[in-house]
Amino acid sequence: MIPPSPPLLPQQSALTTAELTLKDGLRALGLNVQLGAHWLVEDVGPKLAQQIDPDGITGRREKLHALVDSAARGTLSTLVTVLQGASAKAMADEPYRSLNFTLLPLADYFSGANRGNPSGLFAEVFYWLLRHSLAARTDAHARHAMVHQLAVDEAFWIVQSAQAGLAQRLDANTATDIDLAQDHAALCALLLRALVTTEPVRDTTLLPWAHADANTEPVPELLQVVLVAVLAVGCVTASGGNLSWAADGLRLGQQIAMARRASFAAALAQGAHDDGAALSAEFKFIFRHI
Amino acid sequence: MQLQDALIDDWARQTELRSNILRWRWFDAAFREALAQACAQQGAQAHLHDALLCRAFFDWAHDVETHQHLETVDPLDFRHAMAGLLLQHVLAAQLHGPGPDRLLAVHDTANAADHRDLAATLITGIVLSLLQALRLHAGAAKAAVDAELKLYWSSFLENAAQQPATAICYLDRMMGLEPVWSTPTLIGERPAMRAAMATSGVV
Repeated sequence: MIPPSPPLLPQQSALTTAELTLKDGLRALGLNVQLGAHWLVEDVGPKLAQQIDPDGITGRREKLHALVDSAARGTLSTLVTVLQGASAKAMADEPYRSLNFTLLPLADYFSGANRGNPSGLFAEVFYWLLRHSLAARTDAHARHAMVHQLAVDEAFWIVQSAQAGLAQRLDANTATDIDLAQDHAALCALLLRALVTTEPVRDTTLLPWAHADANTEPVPELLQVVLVAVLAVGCVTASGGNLSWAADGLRLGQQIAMARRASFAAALAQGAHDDGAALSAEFKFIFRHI
Repeated sequence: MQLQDALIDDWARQTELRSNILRWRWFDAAFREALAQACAQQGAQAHLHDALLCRAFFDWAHDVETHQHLETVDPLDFRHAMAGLLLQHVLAAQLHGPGPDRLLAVHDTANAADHRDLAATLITGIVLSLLQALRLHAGAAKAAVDAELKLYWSSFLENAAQQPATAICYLDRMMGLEPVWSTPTLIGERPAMRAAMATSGVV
């Protein structure tokens, strides 16, 4: 079965979609190779050895086990080397990988400064924030999940089309402090809802086109991954300095997301009825107290 | 009850103390610093649970916001109420949770009773230190801690474990104020607040 092509949003260029699909595919391949090798070593190998030498008397079981283990590790090592080489050529991402980059106020990512690729910076920064946020988790959901950059890019266009004037108002000199706080919180709420809709953090063992039902609530652990990224950037405000280290932002986002996940989930669930007002109020409350 | 006198003076000198105390980054750093000093004084080692402290802080901030309109009625008593609400939330994170996680894990004690006692002592000391700083910042003098605190310390811990809001009453008692046992979280019902409202004709 051939999966259907992802829907192309009106403003999203075919080139960007193709590039991000390719990147996601390469990353999914790498993760699945690792999961496959672990499966081979931890599941298939022992079962095969058990079948061949059920009583373990002949001593062939240990030898076979060692052989499977060695073969799997060798294959994994070769594939990882190849994939890393390909990744290095395709993606110059070392600063992002090592969290050695700074965050801008959220509105700046929607300012359209790069007319050739308006969503480029957003998709790159939020992809890596989500990836680091996911890496910090150790639960079962996180082990099989990966971040899809194309879905991050889709969230950009959802926000852009939903609130075209919001980012401009945040940059406007005429806006009062109250307007700025309200709009900033509203933008964060909009972004969180968009990311929950596009599901950039997905279980890689599921079929690529198997999106969750739009009416089901996100898995709490994965909601937290997304919330951390939005809070990390949301906490960067013009009044607190224009730049902030991503590592600091993520740490703060993780603290708040862990503490307030239930409140955010409840506010998110109200979104269909209040157009995100409760979610916006929750962000506003957090920003008043950081 | 040992308070952090040097820290109290440092905090009280900050012109923005009243707003800083309700900012997570300031509060987190201040709480950790006070805990480190208190542990050094007690010869104890404690591990702080980040997420529980953060949750307690934001729950507290929410409660303070809810009663914010009463601050103008009696600013000093409002600070006592703020400290009481803070003690309620941090002690709830230490004594009241359904799970095994606790706000503070104290390592130097052998049995559970000592552990509970020392952790609660450290937490209460930090909250009292913050309250003293808030009093100085508001132009009041430091308040003396009730000399009979030892007599009701055990009942304080038992009641706070079962009903965290009673911590507000016990903090008032420690500071020589009249507790409102029936409605501890109704800040407008505090004697000083009611007296101030009556004087100003608000009631």
